[in-house]
Amino acid sequence: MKVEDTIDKNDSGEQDASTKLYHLPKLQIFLGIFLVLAIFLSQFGAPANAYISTRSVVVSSSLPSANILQDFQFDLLGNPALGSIMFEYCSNTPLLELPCVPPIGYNSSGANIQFQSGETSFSIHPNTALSPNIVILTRPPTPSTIGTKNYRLGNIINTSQSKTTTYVRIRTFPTTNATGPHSDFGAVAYSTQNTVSVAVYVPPFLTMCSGVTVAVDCTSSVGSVVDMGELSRTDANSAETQFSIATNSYNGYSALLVGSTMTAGNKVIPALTASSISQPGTGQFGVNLKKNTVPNVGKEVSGVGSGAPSSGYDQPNVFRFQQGDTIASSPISTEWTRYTLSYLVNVSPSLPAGRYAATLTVIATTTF
Amino acid sequence: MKRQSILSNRKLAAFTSAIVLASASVLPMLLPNVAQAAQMTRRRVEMSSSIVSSTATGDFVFQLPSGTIVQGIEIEMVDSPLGSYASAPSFVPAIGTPTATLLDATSTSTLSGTTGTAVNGDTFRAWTDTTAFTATKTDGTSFTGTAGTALNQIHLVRSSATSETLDATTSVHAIRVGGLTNNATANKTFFARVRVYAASTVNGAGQFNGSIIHDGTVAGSTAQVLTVQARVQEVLQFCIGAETSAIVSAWSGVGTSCTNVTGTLVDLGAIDSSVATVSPISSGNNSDGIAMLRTNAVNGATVTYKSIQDLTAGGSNRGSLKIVGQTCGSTDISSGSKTDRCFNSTLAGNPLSATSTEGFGMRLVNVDTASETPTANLTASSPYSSGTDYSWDDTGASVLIASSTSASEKVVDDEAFQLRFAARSALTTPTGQYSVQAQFIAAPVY
Repeated sequence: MKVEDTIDKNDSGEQDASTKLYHLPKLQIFLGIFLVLAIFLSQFGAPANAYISTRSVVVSSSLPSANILQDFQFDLLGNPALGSIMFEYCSNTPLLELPCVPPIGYNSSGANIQFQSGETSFSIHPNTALSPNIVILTRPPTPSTIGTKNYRLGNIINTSQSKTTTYVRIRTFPTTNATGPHSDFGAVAYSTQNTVSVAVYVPPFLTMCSGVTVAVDCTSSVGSVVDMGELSRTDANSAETQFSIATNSYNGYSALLVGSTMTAGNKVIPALTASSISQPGTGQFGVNLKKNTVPNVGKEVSGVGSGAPSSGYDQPNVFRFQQGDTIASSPISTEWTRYTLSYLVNVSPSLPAGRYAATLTVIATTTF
Repeated sequence: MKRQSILSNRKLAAFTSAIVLASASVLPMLLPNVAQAAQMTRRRVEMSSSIVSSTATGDFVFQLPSGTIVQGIEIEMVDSPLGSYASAPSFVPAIGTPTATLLDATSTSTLSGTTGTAVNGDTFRAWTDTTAFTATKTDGTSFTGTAGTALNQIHLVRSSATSETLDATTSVHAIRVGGLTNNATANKTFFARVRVYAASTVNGAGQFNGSIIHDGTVAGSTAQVLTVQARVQEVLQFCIGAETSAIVSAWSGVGTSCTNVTGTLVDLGAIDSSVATVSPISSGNNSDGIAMLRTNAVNGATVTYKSIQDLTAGGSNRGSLKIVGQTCGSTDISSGSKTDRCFNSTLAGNPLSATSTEGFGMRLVNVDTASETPTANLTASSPYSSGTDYSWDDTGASVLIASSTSASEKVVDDEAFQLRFAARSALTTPTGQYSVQAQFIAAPVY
């Protein structure tokens, strides 16, 4: 009897689906049930004792005794029931056939799960806390799926030994506590290393040059004497010199002006101990570090450095001279800054004749 | 009377002699035609495979004890070397479409793998008549059951008028029979009864006409396949450190291993703003960084580094070349501060050759040429593979510097590389002792 003979047809000649199953031969029904059962049972009985494939562990730190994260990734090739995963850490070998020697100083008893994918719903099994080198992930047994799994374990203390390899034996079990025969197995490894240190020393420098004129970077310096000629009693007398400074002192520098006002023996041109503008006919000796218009002398600072004239010496047309004053400074390390030191000399009609001179020194200091 | 008696005796003797002579001449024609076949020596069958159910060829090797014309050869596959049988033999090779090939001094022996020489050293003699045999299968000669149910016999037939030469010492005749399939049961012996005929015709009973000239039985067997299983354990040997240039140079020799790596500091000494200072340098400790990797990870391995963050400092970029405890601003090599106590750097590589540059970095040199390397699969990753530019990541992120994952064979056997560091200060780089630490991580994928 042909199978087709058992299939009813409706009035239009189409097969009645509801009656097709009813009329299927018993053998076909039996085979169908058998097939469904076989597929269902295969979910639990698929190949066990297989090798875990494409497996790796990436640690967050290779430093001995560091508290690290471990990112495990591996592929399961079969789909047996999966109730637990054991990570066993050994210092001697990944081979299951050989006893495992726990890495010295290693401690995974406080491990936690920070991420899981592929096969999920795992938690840390209580037995993990009982061993320094075994972590067990547990869940109710369910069929596993073929494919890539990822687990990030945290709060694991690396071995205290440097330049050593730690092997991690990974096993899957159908049981929830990693007992009984395992299903799949594989091993990975990572190593601990000391750090590599690189050290350099940046030597200190504070460089300054002075002269009638100097290059910004002190590659040249010209002159050390300024002759102001015959001093006028009716007009302001002026002159200028330059100095340039750079330093890699983190604290920068201070430039002090040391010396005295112009004198000729015991005859003195009064120094401007207080800031003042030029007053021809009045005895005045002062300096500043600005470009002035009255009198027309001086230049602004130049260069890429961060130095600047100090208070009292930083206003155009305002002069001052106080022995030991800081006339310029930089609060930080700085490249070259060139200053133009402008001199103002006014004399009173009563100033005795003579050769007046002043010797001034700029001293740069810093604290390294 | 006496003379008559003597005459009678003479007649009787003559008659008796005549009868004897006549009988002697006729008797051979009256007796059955029974021949005694000579047994072939140094005979054997060399099967190309003993694996159950596998297709195979059989080299039937034998010595002809006397010269003879060979027009027919009968090969009967049986379970026993002797006797007849009523049912098909159980463990003999199945005969598909048989083929026959004459072997000679130019033929490659199935088992020895050498030309013209069998596995025991016997030499294949060239057949005097090289006419090929035609092979057919039929019921065995010793089969007594129903015809057509024991097709375990091969007939090799040809036309020949040339006598094959007898074999002596180690000279053998050999013929290769193909189209066989081993029995499905392991460790079973079968026998092949080989018969040589001068005749080339077969009678109605499926047997060669004429007498067996030579015969002999050989034996073969199926066998279990021996599986040898071994497991190679995962291997990872990785070391990183700092060694003098002399030690590093010595790594081109044999015997290099991680035991040679003991240092951990690369000291660049005093640097200035006029030119980049590059390791190894005698004003420092004349050392380069060096690393060596060995792993049998079939999917390759990567080497990454992380700058150690200075936890005593605030801010970011705490993995820069810096004075310990100092807080850094931006460390971008093109825009970062040159007055703080942190060296600038870049992820994109910089030769540190421009004036006013402040920078620090690392590049890899002599990758897998700095050691005795059976493999050369490790390569430096960009930008650390640059021949001129130095890079550094001071954020503490994991940065790839070398890998074998792109190699066709990804395992790495004692491949080393040097870590070349360089630093250049700006004019404003504050004086002081700068340092940085990094950890290096090897990650094999098995």
